[in-house]
Amino acid sequence: MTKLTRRGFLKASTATAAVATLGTLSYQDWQKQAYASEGEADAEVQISSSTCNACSNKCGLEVFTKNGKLWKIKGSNIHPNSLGTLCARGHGFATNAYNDARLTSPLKKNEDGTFSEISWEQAYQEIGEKVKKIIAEDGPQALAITQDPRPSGKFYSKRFMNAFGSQNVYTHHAACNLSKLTAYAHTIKKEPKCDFNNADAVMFIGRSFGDGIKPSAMKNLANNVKRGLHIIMVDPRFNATAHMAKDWLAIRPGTDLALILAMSNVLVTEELYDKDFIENYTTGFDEFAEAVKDYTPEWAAEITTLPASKIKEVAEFMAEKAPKAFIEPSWRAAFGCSYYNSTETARATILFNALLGCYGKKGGMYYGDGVKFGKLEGPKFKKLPEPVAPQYGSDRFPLTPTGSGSSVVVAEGIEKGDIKGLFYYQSNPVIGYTNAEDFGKRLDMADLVVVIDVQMSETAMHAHYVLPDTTYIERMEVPSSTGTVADVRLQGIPKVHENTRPVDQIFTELAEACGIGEYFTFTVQDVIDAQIAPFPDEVKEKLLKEGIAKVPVENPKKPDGDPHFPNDDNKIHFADDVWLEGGLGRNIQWIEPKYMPNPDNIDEFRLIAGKQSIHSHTMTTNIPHLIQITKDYDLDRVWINTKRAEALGIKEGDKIEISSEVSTTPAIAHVTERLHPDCIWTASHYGTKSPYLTEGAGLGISSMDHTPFHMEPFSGSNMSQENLVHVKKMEA
Amino acid sequence: MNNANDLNLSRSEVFHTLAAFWLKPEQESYIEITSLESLYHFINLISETYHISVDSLDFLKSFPTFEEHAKNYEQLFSLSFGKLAAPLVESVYKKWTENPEINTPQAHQTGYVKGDSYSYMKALLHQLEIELPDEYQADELPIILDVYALLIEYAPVSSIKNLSENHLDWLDELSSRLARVVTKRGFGEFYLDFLALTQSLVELEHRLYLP
Ligand code: SF4
Repeated sequence: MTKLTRRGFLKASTATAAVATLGTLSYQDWQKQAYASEGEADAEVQISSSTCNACSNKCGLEVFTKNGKLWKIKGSNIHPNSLGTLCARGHGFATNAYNDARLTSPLKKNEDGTFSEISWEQAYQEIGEKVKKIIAEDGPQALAITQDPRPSGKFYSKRFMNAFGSQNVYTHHAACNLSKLTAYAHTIKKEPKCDFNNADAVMFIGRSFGDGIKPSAMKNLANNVKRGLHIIMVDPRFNATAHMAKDWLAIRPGTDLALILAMSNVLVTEELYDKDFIENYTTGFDEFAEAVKDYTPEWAAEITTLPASKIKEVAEFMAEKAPKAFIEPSWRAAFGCSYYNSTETARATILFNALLGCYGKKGGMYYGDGVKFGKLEGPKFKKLPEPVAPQYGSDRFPLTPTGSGSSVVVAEGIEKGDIKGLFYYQSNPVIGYTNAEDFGKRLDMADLVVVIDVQMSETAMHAHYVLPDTTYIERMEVPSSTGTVADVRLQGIPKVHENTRPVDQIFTELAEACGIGEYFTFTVQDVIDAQIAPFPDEVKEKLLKEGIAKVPVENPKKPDGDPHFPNDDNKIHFADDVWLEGGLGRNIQWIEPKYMPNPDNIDEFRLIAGKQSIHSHTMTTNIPHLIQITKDYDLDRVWINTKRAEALGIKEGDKIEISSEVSTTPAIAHVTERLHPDCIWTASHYGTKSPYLTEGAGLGISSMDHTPFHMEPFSGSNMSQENLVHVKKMEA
Repeated sequence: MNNANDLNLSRSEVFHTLAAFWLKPEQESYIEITSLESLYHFINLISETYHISVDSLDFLKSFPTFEEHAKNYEQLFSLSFGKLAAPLVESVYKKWTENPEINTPQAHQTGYVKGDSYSYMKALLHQLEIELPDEYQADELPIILDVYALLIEYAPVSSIKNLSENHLDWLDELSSRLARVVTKRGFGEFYLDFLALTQSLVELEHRLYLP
């Protein structure tokens, strides 16, 4: 073999003889011959297995390759989230492996704000030195990591931070579900599963399976609607699932709590609640009944703009269908993280479902065991040190589950000088958690910011070091599970860029450089082996070979009449002192949103946001064929209600200006009757700010452009829809 | 030029030098190709071999220093810089694959690495028994140019033509992207000129030597 040298590297090499053999072949024949010489012409299509990384559903998929190149991907037939189908995002995201805007080398920020490529060795050495300095001066509690939970990323990033003695491990939930998680944690501990297949009535609040898509759930919902399932859609916007609903309750944004309190009032005052359930599985009902007595449908009608008669009607209808009826636990939306009252709203939904007595019942909501993985024990997995301090922010948000924590409070910690070094794994808080300028400014104050990602995100632009990860399809990962199905991501294609490294390798090497290498003396395969050790041999074999397998569990999830709440006394506490610790009342109560647009001011609105089924937050906005769909269908337009638009002289396709205390942004208007008049709506994927990722440049606005940096005081979530904007038509 | 053999050697040397310039910067070879002596030799060689006026090659006298070049090269051409760069990679500018059986969404689009172009070049290099260092992909411009220079010396015209027509036919697209990048970043005019020179030499090869 001839090695490439510099100038004239091929001269006088063995290659000259080979060149002569080319003769006068046509290009096609030459190509064929060359292919054959590598054995590529006869290569078979190989099938491997993985789970999609484009959203937290992690749908199982099959990866087809030929000659090490991606041939196609297909949804796994046995994975519960895909059941044979992947969504457009899943198909698009897999192609990121080959995208020409991927990070391909470690980068270091220069003084002028530009980045330069450096070697892995230099990156590790410098990061290691900075981490050691931070620990020496401020202790490990001055370090924090935020990750978007995916199998290896979740495992390695947590262990990495814990190995320092820091508990500052955060997830995306502050911008997703933290309010809901907080509410569940102190009522029934964990979110139950929904029995759509047997339900008669389901109320969705802000959640839309047709927008934030999960392929199997969407199919299942469609089948159940055909069967006769009655859907009540509560959303200021007629979303992409609303066409399946029998009722669309176009509620004023931020007032969902009032609706649920009033529905609870109807059930209590009309004695339509499940008395047996209340007696056997709840405490504090009388206090609750007293608390909701003033929240009448008439009272709620004023706040929500829904007719009192409709509120009464849906409450009675849900009661009539109980226990085969429930409010779906949602995702993001009204009680995930959006408003000042989101935690209280989530709490209200849990308690309303208790009134319906649906927990543990067929057609209701239920618990059961999922897959239990083996422990990481033995000499390879050194016991982690005791934490030196509680998780940062846990004193301010004592009710918030530390498994998620508030990743927003960390940014505040930088400004206060409490947090000095931050790591972000596949997480883009600069554009996702609040307005980019504010979050970015805070990151710029830190001594060390390290971003590990596959592309130059807005957050990466504020990093001191950017480390290039492989895409999910290029690596093997630690196991994860959905229900009773376990999965292991197997490597689908060879590494596309030589100088990228898989997440497990990056954290292992970073740990070594930071002086905690003794906690990372294992490989991914070692973790897999330890975690699947308790499974029967045939399951292990199947997992390692096919990547997805059903695991036998003792008590599989099913509705058997007993709610099986995972809390200590198997009861729901309608009233509880625990809430006082977090600044809420012992009893449920109405809490105003932080902002409320004044309908008399014709240009004043709340800006709300939602997903579109072709994008996953901002992760997919540099994927050309997905962004082309956005362009083809003008999906980046900002929705405005027809009457309000008329009052402002705005027509479809007009250029508008949206201004707030945070920023002023131009946008294009989509005028529609399918939106509550008090708000304007945008999809949450646009307004890209990284000049490195230009496919989505100039499209739409980021929903965070107008959201001030703030946190819900009860959970630390980012209150993504607490804002006030002014809209005007721009001159053509 | 004395004879056909000399002419081929000159052509080959020009393309080896072009390739050397487009390779990832390395101080020793860069200083060698940009030394005054080499530069005048290169200018004369191009002028004589391709009948280009020396005046039009004047821009070559403003080669950046090695330090500038190393920085510019990384910023303008490294894949790490996403759309702020114009990678010197053939696959990026061509349909990822012509294979109708491959049905991933990017399969018949541009903007992706390691497509058909990469596979073909890799196979060719393998057949020519050439091994690349890890930091190069087989379909990078300097590699193609150097293989081209090799073919000029040792291969029949048809093979040379084949390589040029099939693997040096994307330079217009590279040039457009580089022009956008240079405008956006405010530096790198020299590389646009050097690319234009590379393009015209590829064209002149066709006109003069690859009938
Ligand atoms: S829902 Fe779509 S994006 Fe999410 S994991 Fe499944 S295929 Fe991927």
